Amino acid sequence: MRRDELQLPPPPNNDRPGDRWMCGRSSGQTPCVRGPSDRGICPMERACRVKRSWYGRRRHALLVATVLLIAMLLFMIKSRHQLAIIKPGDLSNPHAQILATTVTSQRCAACHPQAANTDNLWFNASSVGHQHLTQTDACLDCHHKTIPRKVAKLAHNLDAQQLATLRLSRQRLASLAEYSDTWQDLLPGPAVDMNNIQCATCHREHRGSSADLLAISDTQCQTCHSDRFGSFATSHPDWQQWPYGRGGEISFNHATHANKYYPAKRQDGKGTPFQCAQCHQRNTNNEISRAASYRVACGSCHDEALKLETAEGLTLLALPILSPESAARVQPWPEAATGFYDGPVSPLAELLLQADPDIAKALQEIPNHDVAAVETPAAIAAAETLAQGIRQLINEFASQGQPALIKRTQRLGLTPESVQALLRALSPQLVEEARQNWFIQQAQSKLDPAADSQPTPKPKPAETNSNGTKGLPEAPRDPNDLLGSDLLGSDLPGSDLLGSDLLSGDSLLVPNPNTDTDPLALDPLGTEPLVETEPAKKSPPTNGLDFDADSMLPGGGWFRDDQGLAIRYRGSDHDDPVLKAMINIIRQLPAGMPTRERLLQNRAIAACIACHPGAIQRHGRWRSRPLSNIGQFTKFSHASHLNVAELSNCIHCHRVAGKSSSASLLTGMLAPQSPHGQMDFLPLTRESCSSCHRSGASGDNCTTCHRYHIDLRNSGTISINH
Amino acid sequence: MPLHSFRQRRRIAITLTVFALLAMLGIVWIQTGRLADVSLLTGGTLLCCILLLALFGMRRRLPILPLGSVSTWTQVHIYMGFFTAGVYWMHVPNLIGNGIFECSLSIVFLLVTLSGFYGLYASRTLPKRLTAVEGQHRFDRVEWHRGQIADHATKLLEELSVHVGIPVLGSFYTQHLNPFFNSRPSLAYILVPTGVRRRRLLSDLRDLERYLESEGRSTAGRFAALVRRRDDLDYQFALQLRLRLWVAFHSILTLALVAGGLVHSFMALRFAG
Repeated sequence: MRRDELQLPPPPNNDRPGDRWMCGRSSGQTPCVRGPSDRGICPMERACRVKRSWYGRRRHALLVATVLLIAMLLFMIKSRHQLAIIKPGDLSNPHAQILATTVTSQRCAACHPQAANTDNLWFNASSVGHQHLTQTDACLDCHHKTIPRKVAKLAHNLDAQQLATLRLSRQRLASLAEYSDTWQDLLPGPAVDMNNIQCATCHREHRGSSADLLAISDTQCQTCHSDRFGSFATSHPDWQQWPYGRGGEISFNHATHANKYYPAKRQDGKGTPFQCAQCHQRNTNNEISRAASYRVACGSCHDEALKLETAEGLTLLALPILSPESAARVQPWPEAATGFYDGPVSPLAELLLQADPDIAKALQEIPNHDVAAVETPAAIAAAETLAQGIRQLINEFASQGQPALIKRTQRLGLTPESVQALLRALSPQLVEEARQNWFIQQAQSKLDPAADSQPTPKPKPAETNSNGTKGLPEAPRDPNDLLGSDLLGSDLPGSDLLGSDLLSGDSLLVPNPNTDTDPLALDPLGTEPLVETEPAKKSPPTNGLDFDADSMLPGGGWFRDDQGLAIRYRGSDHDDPVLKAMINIIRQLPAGMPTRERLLQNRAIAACIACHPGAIQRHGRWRSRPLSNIGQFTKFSHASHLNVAELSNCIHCHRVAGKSSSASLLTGMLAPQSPHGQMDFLPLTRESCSSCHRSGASGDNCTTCHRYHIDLRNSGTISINH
Repeated sequence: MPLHSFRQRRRIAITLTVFALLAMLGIVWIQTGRLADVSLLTGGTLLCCILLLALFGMRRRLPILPLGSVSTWTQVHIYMGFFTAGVYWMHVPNLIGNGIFECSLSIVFLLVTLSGFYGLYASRTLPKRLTAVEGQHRFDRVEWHRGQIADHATKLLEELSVHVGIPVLGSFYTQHLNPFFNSRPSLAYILVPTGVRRRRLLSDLRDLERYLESEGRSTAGRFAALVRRRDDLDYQFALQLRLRLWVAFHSILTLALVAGGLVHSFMALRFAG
């Protein structure tokens, strides 16, 4: 039988699909026509047990679900586990470790100032949540040591001036190199204010414990840049000189050493080949050291020359030679320093004398800082003032010691520590002894006729040393010499015949201002053979006249030069503490100051600075240190690269420029700010890096080699990557 | 012509959806590159889409208002659902969130999305299967129909003559037909309605015919018709229940999703910056 042939009764006519309730009578019974009410009540006398319709069941389920949902939300809001529930994800490990010790209720508020407001504080205007603090402020509560608050929100943590420097540099490079014209240049600019970049712009938290807070795409890196590029291998701007030309503490030219000096030594059969590892050794971190010590790397070749240079030393002061008239006016003045005006002013003495305004003014009157050039009455008066100042300086130091000189230099802005380092080995007793020898004993000898039998030391014949001091040709005093002290050097008024009117008009004795020649210099008396031969017979050298600093002070030190009537310092070879202290003092002097320039011309000082140019620019820049990548745009570690066998050979990347190569000139041209003014390596090409640094290999993300946060507190300058 | 119209409409809708998704993807990519807070953009879009999708349920409850046809709303609902799923993928860092609340919210979203995709499949296949079965029964009257079938089967047995076939059909009715007519279908049948039960009973009834005379065979044939009708009824019940459960599941989870989404948006805005 077919199913449609089966006749079944039609359903009752009480269909109300929108009702929540339906009749509960079974199929054998006749359902109510009216059915249950809206509230589920059967109107019949013998009421049935009404049933929910599907619609009613669904509404019921919806109601239950709504109630459950509200209950869950209330639980979430009011539960003591509220923070754990609403936390959008685990923090990164470093932050999670820090906050693990924080009270649970304050964890959110540690980074979200808004969360500091509880229900009770919501309407309190002075609460933390109403102080307009941002998450960045909360970040800097911990990170202010690595990123200064003042620049934390600035792009690259650089102020406007530093950013302008970068832009100019980039523009300069863009004019030299090909401008990378890529489709990335068409992308819109940044969506953030360059002067108010929040930490969370790049560092997204709550991404799980293993999430990388530093993850950022290349597009994001370049969003602020005017010239953007695609991959590193194809469109990254070329760097023209990096990593060279960033300066350093030690001046060293690889090209000349590799191409000239080392081969020359090898021809002698005693040299070693030029090897990078000789100076650049690996340290414990497998990083390359900047340089080896002087003894290891330089001493074998440079010791002898350096000893010669440093032996020139310094001159603290030297007595100028005054004419007898001037000497008479500045009494007491050593007889040995009397004669024709002569003697340059030691730059160090000039520095010490400048504390006195009168003497400083007098120094300006002396032409070329040399008493020999004084001619005018004003210059003569200045020379006399200078002589008095030097004598006063000697007296002060002899009687008061180092504090007297420190006090003088403090007026020039020099630190006491730097002057103390200079004078550490100079005893006041030495100066006192000099004073005794030069001033007091001579004065006594004048009062004591017997003392006239003793020869008075005179300056050496004219010899100019690098300190700018001159020794004068001087012979021991002959009592029979008519031009000696009796007639020319007498202190008695009116006793000086040459100073009287009788001789004042004598053109033979007065220098001719037109010819600038001293007639006495041509006077046969001035070259009296007897004058030169007599002293050797009469008086052997005493009082340090024969003091030979080269043989008696091989380790260096201060000494009294009785022939030059000076107090000098003889330097040792490398790492001389007094010369270093002198350079530290020079560094403190203002640029362009004549005394500073004269001090820099000192041979010993110049020899130091030739290899240590940084020492004259910044304090303590003597030792070669690795160039720190910290805080700079570009970061590089040799350690990871040296694991590659091919790269362990230094010249794979660093090729010293050859003699005929124009690379040195080229790179030097591109680095005008280079302290050395020239590069001695061929430029490092981008291709040498991009062979490994490409996507799918060692990676070519911007952050592989660059860092966003630039910290100039250590370096002070921006190492521009080009 | 209507079929062509439907295909054309679907092609246009798919094109628009794909274009909207690509446009959104491009905007997100550009905005991400500009260091903008893309999560606010995608999150706001996501919330708006969810609210619009939820309004579809409201539209069905307001049939008298001139708000466009339900068919149009359904099409918009479907394709906006696809778009919303794509925006969700752009919004979340992980498919399932990390925190408790966000994990729950993402699971709810995924359940709503998956139930929506299933609903799309079900709404395309189940009506065909329902109309393939004879008879149309309102869901709430299925039980009444079951009772009628069971009562009719009892009457058939009672109408049977005393000496004819009672032992055979009575025994078979007691052991097999009575449990079948007087009980609800099993959960397994509701989940996967098949013709196994029906074919087994009909085969057994056919096997009994050799022991029955003509009246008994006629009664057995009526029993077979009742088995077919009851099985068709259960089949319709299972498929209707599936459709109704899907709608209830989808709408209740949508409610939870809207509530959770609003809470999530509030918290995101409060803790941002």
